[in-house]
Amino acid sequence: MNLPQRIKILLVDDHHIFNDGLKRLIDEQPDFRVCGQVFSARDLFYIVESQRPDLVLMDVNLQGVNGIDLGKKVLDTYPKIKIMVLTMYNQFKLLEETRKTGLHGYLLKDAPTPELLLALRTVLNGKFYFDSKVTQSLQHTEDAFGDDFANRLNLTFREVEIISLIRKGFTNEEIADQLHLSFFTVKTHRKNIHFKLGLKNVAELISFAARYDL
Amino acid sequence: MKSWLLITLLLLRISSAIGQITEPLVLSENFTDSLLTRQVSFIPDSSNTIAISDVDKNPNRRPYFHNTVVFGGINPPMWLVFDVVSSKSNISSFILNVSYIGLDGAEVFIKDGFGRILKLPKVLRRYPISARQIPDNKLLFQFSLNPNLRYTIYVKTPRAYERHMISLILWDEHTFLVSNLKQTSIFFLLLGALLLAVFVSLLLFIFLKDAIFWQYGLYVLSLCAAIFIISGYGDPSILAIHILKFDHTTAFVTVLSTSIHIKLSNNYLSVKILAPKWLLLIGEVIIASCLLAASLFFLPWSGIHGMLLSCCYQLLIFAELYIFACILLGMRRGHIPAIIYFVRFLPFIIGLPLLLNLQVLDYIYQSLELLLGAAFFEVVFLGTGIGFSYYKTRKAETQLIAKLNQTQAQVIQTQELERQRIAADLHDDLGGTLSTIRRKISDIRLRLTDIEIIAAFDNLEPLITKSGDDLRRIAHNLMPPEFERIGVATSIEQLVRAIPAKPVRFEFLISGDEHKLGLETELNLYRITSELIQNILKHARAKRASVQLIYYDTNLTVMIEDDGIGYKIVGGDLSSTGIGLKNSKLRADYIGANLTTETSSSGTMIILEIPYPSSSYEPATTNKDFAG
Repeated sequence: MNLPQRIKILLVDDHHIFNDGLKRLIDEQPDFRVCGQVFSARDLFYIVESQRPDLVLMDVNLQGVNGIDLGKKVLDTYPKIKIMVLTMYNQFKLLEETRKTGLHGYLLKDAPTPELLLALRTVLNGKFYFDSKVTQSLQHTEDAFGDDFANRLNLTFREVEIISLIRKGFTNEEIADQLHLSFFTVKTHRKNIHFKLGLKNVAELISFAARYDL
Repeated sequence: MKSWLLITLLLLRISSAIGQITEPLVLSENFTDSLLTRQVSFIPDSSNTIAISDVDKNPNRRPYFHNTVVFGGINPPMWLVFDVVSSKSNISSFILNVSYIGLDGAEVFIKDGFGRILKLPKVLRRYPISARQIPDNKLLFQFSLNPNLRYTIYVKTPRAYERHMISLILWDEHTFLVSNLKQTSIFFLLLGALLLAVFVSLLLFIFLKDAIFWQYGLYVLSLCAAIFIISGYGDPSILAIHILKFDHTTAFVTVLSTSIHIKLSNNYLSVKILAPKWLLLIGEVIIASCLLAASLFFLPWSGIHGMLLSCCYQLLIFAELYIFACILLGMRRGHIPAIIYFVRFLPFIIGLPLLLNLQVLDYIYQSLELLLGAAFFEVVFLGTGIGFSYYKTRKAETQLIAKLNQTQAQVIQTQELERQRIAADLHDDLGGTLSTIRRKISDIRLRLTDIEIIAAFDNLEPLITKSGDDLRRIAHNLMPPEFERIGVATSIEQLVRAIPAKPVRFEFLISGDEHKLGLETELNLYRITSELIQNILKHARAKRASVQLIYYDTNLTVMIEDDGIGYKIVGGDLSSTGIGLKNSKLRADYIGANLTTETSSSGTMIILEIPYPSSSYEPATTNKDFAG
């Protein structure tokens, strides 16, 4: 028996079938051992204390308690324990939060087994593992928007149209007339533009427009 | 005791009347006016053959006891005779006012002390007022009397279909002209006030779009017309109704007015709701009869007209009874407009036994003095009632709408809870199970040796991946996971960024310091934005669109704008757009946000303004670092 050498993994998930399935999978690995299964947040600290796992696999939603918060608490008390979030949520914001909190990984529950094992090993080697499926989906969309110059100035297409007309010296009425918008719409846009760009008057707006050639 | 007293008084009056009959009426220096009926004797002329020269010799001459002269209807034509002596120092002018235009065609003769008989110029309704001897709407006969001579005056009443009750008044000409001027001024003043009511109610109709206002306006207008014509102003030169026989204008206008009156009463008294079907049917029949009668007046065959006239007056009585029945019914149900309208009937009800006794039911409508008064009474009470019931209805309507909106908002919020529950179940339960299945299948696959079965298992893999993605997508649409944690700004950003750049290119912008708004507000805000984005995608035919969140100092402004066709009618798409906007409005109301829509030919701009909750004015710390 070389039980002491096997790495102790704690499973935290309120979904029994998933939790049990995962236990079987991990136990099958020669170097891994499931040292405990936690089904609700309140049992977590007792088992962590008694089992001292090397790695905790943590669900995000534990009957209303957030797994990321819970993981941070564990990490604060036991800085050596690796904590990886294993969730159904394909949510970049949650992944980012996990990263910022200092947890070690974020993986989707439906990741194939090899990927899961790879993630576990990566994290145990002292690195971080964040599911590429979650990251990729956002990068893809950011690309579609990243090239827009106006958006980098934090202006919408309509605001750019209006600024360029202001620069040409048109009044609100004339702008409304030219763009077939209502006077109220143009006024609202101007108010927003000034607020967003932190400009106090038309002169500042015109010089802004000149600087960026709008 | 009392009845004996009454009879004694009556007898005394009769005897005094008989006693005075031989004595002529003395018109002294300070004579102003006198009601003649007690000085009058009369001769019935049922065959209409007695000539003026035979009147004095006629043996049937009897004193006329009544205060007023009743003629027309079943009463035969008659001669009314009375004597006068002027004791004034000069030749003076007098006026005999038969006071009522219904005495159309009366003939007046005057016999002086020398037995010379003079026929006074005839005054007929159809004579234009300006062409009359004294230009006035009333039927007047003017004559001069030498002092201290005894004159006999003869009045021959015509045949008339309607029963009339008139008073013969003899006036000093100057006194008459002065008093008549006052009376005429008051008449037109009141008529003007009624026309003002017409104007106001038509204005109300234009602004409030409630049918009752035009009905009221039209009814008052028809009353004005009826009063104008009945009062004798509607001579043919003014009215210029040449198709219609002039004598029938009164009846014509009155039946039209009656049909509008019933329509108005039906609406005002909520007859359709309160009354049984048969009563409603009677009302419809009366309206139809009125309109039929009015149109029949245009028939060239005049033989029917006499019958028509009496039918018209019967119809008036039926109409009044119908409205009265509706009022009683409404009152029994505690309908307040009915009670207000009942007051209008009070003079009629009080006078009814009297009028029935005298068999002059139409008197109240046809006496010149009462006519305007009655109309005024009617207009004022009906107007008050309509105002009151309109206010009541509007109030009830507002309450109902508020309640409806509240219920709809509740439905939406319940739906929200249900969505949350289903989304959570999908993610947490089904998601976990699906992942486990996937793992077990790949487990089994590893143990397999048969290549064919391995291939079959490999085919399962993409299916399971797809079901996981589907589940995630469905659950996300129901409710973004960990929505509260992620916050509305990021959720909306992800929503917008997930939209493909074609056909509509969406942009997402955010400015200012992010504030937390509370889960309920944020979730509704998310749903509104999502609905509006869907609207743009489905209906706007836009090329570009923008969603931006601007965190001002006191409120969050969400601006959703596109360069599409505006929410104009696009085929049959309007209703679904409308529903989207309506739900958005409900949600906005629910979270106390202000939703403004600005549509123009080059797109739509929707502004949502959400005030920050009063407890947390400082920027939130949990999700300050939004992407972008």
